[in-house]
Amino acid sequence: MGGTGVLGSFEELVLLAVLRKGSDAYAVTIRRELSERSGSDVAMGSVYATLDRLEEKGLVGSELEEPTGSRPGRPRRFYAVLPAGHAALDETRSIRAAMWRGVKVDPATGAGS
Amino acid sequence: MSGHGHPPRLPARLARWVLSPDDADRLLDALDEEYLRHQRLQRTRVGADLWYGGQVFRSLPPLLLRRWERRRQRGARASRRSGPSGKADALLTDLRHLSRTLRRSPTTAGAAILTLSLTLGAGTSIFAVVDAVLLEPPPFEDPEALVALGERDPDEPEATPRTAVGVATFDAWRDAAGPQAELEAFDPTNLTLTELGAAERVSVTDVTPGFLALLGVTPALGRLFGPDDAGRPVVILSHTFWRSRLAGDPAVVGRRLVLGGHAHTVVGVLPERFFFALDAGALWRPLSLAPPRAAQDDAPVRVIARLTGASAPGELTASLDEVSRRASPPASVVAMPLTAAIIGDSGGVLQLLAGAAALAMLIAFINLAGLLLLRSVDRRRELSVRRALGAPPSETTRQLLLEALALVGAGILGGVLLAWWITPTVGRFALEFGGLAQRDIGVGWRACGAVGLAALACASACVAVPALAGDRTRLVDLLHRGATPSAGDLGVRRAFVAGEVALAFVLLLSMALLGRSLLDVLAVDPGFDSRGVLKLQVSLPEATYGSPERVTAFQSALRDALGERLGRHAVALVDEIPLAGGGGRDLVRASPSDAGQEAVVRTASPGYFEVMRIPVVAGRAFNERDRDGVPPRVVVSESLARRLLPPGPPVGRSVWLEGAGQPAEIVGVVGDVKHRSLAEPAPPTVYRSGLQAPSASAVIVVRAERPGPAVVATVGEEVRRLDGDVPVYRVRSMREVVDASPGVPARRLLTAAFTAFALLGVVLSAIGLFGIAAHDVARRRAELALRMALGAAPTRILGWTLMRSAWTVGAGLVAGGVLAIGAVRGLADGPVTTGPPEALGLGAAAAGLLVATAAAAVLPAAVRAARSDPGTALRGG
Repeated sequence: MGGTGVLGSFEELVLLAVLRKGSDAYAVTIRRELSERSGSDVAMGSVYATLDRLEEKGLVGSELEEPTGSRPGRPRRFYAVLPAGHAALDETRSIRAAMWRGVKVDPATGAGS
Repeated sequence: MSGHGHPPRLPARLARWVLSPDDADRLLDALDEEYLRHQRLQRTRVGADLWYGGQVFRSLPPLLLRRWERRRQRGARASRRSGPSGKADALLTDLRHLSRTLRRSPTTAGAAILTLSLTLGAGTSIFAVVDAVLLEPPPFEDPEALVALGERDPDEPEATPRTAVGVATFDAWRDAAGPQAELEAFDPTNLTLTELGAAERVSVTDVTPGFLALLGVTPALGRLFGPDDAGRPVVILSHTFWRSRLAGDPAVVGRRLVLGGHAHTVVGVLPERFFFALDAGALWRPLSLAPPRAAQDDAPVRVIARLTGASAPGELTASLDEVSRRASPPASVVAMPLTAAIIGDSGGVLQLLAGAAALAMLIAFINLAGLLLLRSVDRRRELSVRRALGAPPSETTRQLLLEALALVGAGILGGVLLAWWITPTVGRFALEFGGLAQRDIGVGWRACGAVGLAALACASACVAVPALAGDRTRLVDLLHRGATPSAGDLGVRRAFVAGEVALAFVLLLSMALLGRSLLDVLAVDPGFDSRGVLKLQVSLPEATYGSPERVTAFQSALRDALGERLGRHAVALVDEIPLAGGGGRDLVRASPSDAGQEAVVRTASPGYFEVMRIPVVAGRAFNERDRDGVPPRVVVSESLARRLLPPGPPVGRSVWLEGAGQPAEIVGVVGDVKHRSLAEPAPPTVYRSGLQAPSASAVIVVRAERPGPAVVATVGEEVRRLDGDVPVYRVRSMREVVDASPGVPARRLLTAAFTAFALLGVVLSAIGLFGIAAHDVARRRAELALRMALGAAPTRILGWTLMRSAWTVGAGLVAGGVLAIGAVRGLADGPVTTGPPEALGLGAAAAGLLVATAAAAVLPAAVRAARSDPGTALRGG
C-alpha cells in the first residue's frame, strides 16, 4: 500500500481503535481496545510502531499531555484520526465491501463461493 | 527478581539494552501502567510477570523494524537526492539484510555451504565419470554395430567368456561370417622401447591391418595401416604418446622408433579423442597372421566384428558356432556389444557410486530445507509484522529465496571447484578400479549442468516449504505467540530429520554390507603368502634374445647373481604372478585321446614355490635338474590332479599339454592358487619348468628381509650389469597385487565412498535432532515449568523429551528399513554376497548406532529441560 491507498489490516484496526477511544485514545487504551475486541493479547510495540507509521503518513495526529492534578502520573501522547485517516478508512471499507459483495464463506467447512 | 507491585526487571533491562531510549521509555511506561492492571486482573504476580515479559519480547521486533524503516526512509530520501533508482536501493537493502542474516549465524550458514559443496563436488565428479564411461558413446563410427567376440564352454552358459582365441579359430570365423560381418583381431602386448631416453616398456597393440579402419578412425597425422603393411616394421602412435614422448613433433611421420630391438617407421598418429578402452595401447603395429604366427598356438588374438546391414548379433554367433562347435575342445560363441564389453563390471560399481552420491546430495538438501525452515521461523514474526504494516507479501519469499540462492550458489560454486579439482583423480581411480583403460576424465558442462540444475530445483523446493508454511500463518497467531517455531513448523522439521535418519540408515547399512564383503574377500586365502614378497618385471627384447637358450642363459645368470646377494632361496622367476589378471589357459590331457581339462599354464623357475610359500603336497618342487635335455617335467595343482587324473598318486604320471609334441612328467603336486580373483574358485594349474620352457617376459619374485627399495636397487644393478638395454618395471609388493586384484579395489572404493557419505548422513541427522530438541524444549519451556511446578519429576521430563525425539528416529528407521530393502537388493546384484540373516544383523547394528547417536544429540536439551528452574522459566517467559 502507498499513500492513502488500502490500509494494512493492522493499520486499519489501529485507526478504528483510535476512533473508538475518542478523546481517551493513547497507546495503552488503544492496545487494550484491540486486545479486548480481537480476543488476543496484542503487543504494545506493534501498536507504537503502527501509530508512528500512521502519523508519518499523515493519517493520525498526536499531542503530548503533561500530568495534571486530576490525572497524575507520566505524560501521555493522545492520538486523533486526521481527515486523511478518515478518507483512508472510508476507501478501505468501500474496497473491502466491493470485494465482499456476493462472496460467501463458511469458516466451518472452508467452502466459499 | 521483582518486588511487590514492580514489574520484572530483566525484560525491562533487555528493552533498554536493545531499543532506542525514546522507544524503550514509551514502551516501558505503557507496560508499567498495564502491569498494575494485570496484577489486579490475574491476581497472581507470576501471571502478570509472565505477561509483562511476553509483551517486551514481542514488542522488540516491531519497534526495531520501525526504527530500521525510519532509517531506510532517511537513507532513501538522501539517495533520491543523490540519484540511484529505487529498485537498486531495494536490492541493496536486501543484500545488506542478507549479509546481516548470514553473519548472525555464520557457523550454520558455513556448515550448510560446506555440506553442499562436499556432496555436490563428490556428486559432480562421480556423475562426470558415469557420463564419460557409461553415457558417452565410444569414439567409434556407429558403435552400436560393433561386437566383441568370445568363446565359452557350452556346458557352462553362465561362465565369463574367454576373449582370446587362436589364430586358426579367427581365420575360420572370418570365413564363416561371410558377408554378415567384418572381423578384425588385436593382440595387446608390451615391448621394450630403446634409443629414446632410457630403455622402457611400452604397451603395444598389434592389430590386423583393417582393425583401425573397422572402428572408423581417421588419423590425426599420416595414414592408417593398409593390407600390405601386415608384418612390416611400421607403427602408428597414440596421441598421448606422440604428445608426451615426441613433444608433438609435426614431422613425426617417417621417424624411426626401436621396439623390441627392431627399427620401426612411424606412419601415422591417432586423433586425440580416440581411445580403445579394451586396451589403451601407446603404439599400434600391424599384425601378420601368416605363418609362423599362425602356427603359434600360445599367441592367441582377441576379435571384434562390425555387423553389416541388417544382421543381428544372434545370426552372426549362429554362423560362427558352426566352427567352434566342431573345434577341440568344443565351444559356443558369444557376441557382446563392444560398449558393454568395454564397460564390463565397472558399470555396476559406477551405478552404486552414483546412487550413494545421490543419497548424500538428498541428505544435504533436506538439511538445507530444514535450515531454511528454521531461518524462516526466526524471521516470520518480523516479516509478518512488516507485512501487516504494509510490506508486500512477496518480500517474505524474496528474502527467503535470496538467502537460499546465496547458500546454494556458494554450495554449487564450491562443489564445482571441488569437482574440477578431484575429478581427474576420481576418474583415474574409477577407471583403474573398474579395470578400464586409462584416459583423462574432466568435469564437463553436462555433469556440472545436471548437478547444478538439480541443485537449483532442490533449492526452490527448499524455499517453497517454509514460504508456504509462512503464508498459512495468521497475523493474530503470530502476534500472540513468541518467536519460537509453531507445532506445525516443528512437524515439518521432524519430517525432514526423519528423512535424514532414513537415508543415513540406508547408507550405513550399505556401508556395513560392502565393508563386510571387502573383509570377506580379503580373508580368502589366495594359496600363497603375499607378505614380504616383492615382484619386478623384466622382459628381454626379441631381437637379442630370439632363442630359448639365450633367454635361459640370461635368466639363470640373473637368478644366480641375485641369489648371491639376496639369499639362495629368496629369488625365483615366473612368467606371470597370480592375481595380476593374466590369461594363459590351455587344455591339458591325461592321455592323448581324452577330452582334457582346461587349466592355467605357468612357467616357474626353481625356488618359485618356496618364495611364494605355495605348499608342496606331494613329490617335489622344481630344481636345477629340470632343464633342457631331460623329458619335459611339470608340477600340477591339487585340483588339476583331482579332476584330471585317475585315483592313485599323481607323481610319476604324464600329462599332455596342448601343442606339445611329447608328454610331460608330473614331479610334484602343489596347493591351489587363486589366479584371477580372490572371489573366484582357484583354477586347475600346470606349472612348466622355467629351465625347459623359458618365457622372454618374466617376473622376478623376491622374499627378502631387506627393505623394498634396497631390493629394487640390487635387482636393477644386476640386470644392468647383464644387459643395459633391459628395463626393470612394474615393481610392486605382492600385498599391493592382492589389493589391486579384480573385485578388491571396487569393494574398497565403494566401502570408502559409502563410509564418507554415511558419516555425513549420521552427523547431519544428529545436528537436526539436536536442533529440534532444543527448539522443542524452548517452545514448551513454560509448559514444562508448569508441569514441574505441579510436581512432575525431572526424570519424567527427561523421558518425555527423549521420547519425542524417539518417535522421529523411529519413523526415520522404519522408512529407512523400507528403502534399505531396495538398496540391499541392488547391492546383492553387485559385489555383496551377504545372506539375509547377516544383513538383518548389520541392519540392527546400523539402527543401534543411529539410535545411540540420536540419544547423544538429544540428551543435552533433555537434561536442560529436566534441570530448568520452574520459577525462572515462568518469570523469564
